[in-house]
Amino acid sequence: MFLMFQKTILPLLAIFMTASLYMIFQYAPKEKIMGDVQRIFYFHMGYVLVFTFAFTMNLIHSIRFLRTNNKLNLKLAYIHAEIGVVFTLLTLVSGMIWAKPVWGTWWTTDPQLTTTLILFILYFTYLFFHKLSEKAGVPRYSSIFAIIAFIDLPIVYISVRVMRGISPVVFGGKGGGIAPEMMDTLLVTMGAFFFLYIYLINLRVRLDKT
Amino acid sequence: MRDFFSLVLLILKKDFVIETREKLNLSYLIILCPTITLIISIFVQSQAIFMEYFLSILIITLLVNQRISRQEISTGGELILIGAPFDLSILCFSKIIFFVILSFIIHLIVFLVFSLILSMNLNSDLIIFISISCLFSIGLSAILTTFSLMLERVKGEGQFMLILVYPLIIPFLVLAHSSILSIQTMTSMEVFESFSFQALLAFDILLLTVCPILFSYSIRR
Repeated sequence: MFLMFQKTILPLLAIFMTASLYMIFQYAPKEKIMGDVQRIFYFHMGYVLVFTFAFTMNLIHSIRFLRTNNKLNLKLAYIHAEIGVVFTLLTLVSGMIWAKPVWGTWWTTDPQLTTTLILFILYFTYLFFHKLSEKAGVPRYSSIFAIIAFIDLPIVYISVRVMRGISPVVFGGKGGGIAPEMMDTLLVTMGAFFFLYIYLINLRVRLDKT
Repeated sequence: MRDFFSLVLLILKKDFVIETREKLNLSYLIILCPTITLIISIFVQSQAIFMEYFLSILIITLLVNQRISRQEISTGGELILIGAPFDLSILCFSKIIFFVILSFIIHLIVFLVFSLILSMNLNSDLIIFISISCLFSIGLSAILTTFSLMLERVKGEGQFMLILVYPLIIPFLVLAHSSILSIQTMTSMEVFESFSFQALLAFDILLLTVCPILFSYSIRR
């Protein structure tokens, strides 16, 4: 599906990414308590968006493969998981960089941090499981693994609201707790990361074909 | 629906007949449960008695689970009931139920050993403690039984692939851990209403529905 937009993605990505970088460093106001380090938050949320899309697409392609037995779906499921794992790792690393000056520690047992780490471990394992199941001649097993692993994703989102930890809630019931300029910047950054995600998927599929 | 449950009962009956005749799983449990429980109680401080209990259950479950699917193996390496003229989700569901029953025996033995060696005192928390233990075991059984049934067909790398399935149970562990911690600080009603407990319940229902269906899809060629 994404391959249809191949020619239009790059200009869109360039426009959104430039706008996003300008807004992050020039337009968005400096956070009073955290200071400039808070600007990492926009990238952090972008990474979250990418891995959410990637793992959702992984689930869809895994279900499709189980139903149709079309190997293309299996390959696409794997590609999405690869991108998802990279961005989950980036989420964890950017979260740690943000946490150190703000919380005074690189890591804490906050429910959201723990569940994101679990998500990373699950899909990292999926990548190995996929290779092994293909080698063993049972590729369907990796799709089943992916479907069960996906159940953890909603928990990451629910945990931050229900199991109250120290991670902030951005999109809360009353529009979140950030200034309008920050929200504009966040939305543009998320748009930029969405196009980056589509571009990376395109690139990876092309790489696989060659 | 009636046929579904009558077939589940039939497979369960077969498993129990084999079990009463050979007593392999039972003897395995009678040896394994006290051994693991004693090892853990030696190394973990007795203040964290709930954690010790769950850790023992978890390790025993991981070890025992691999035995269950082996009962269905024929000499050719294929599951005997794979060629049966009914939906394979029934086979998976009955195996999950069989393993859940075995889990209750594991709980019983571990509980008795703990009561004997550490004077485990639960008082009014008994109902909530049993509820969390049951929910924990049902979810664990659903994931492990489905994958061990599937992986028995894989020669060579099968055991290694089963170890790769273990991360799937981490969300369960986190939720169970959070529920157990709340036993000490909340009333029974508050624990029942807590997110961890309800999420554990929701997970169980979801897995009991999804795992048998996925198993039947996994076997299709």
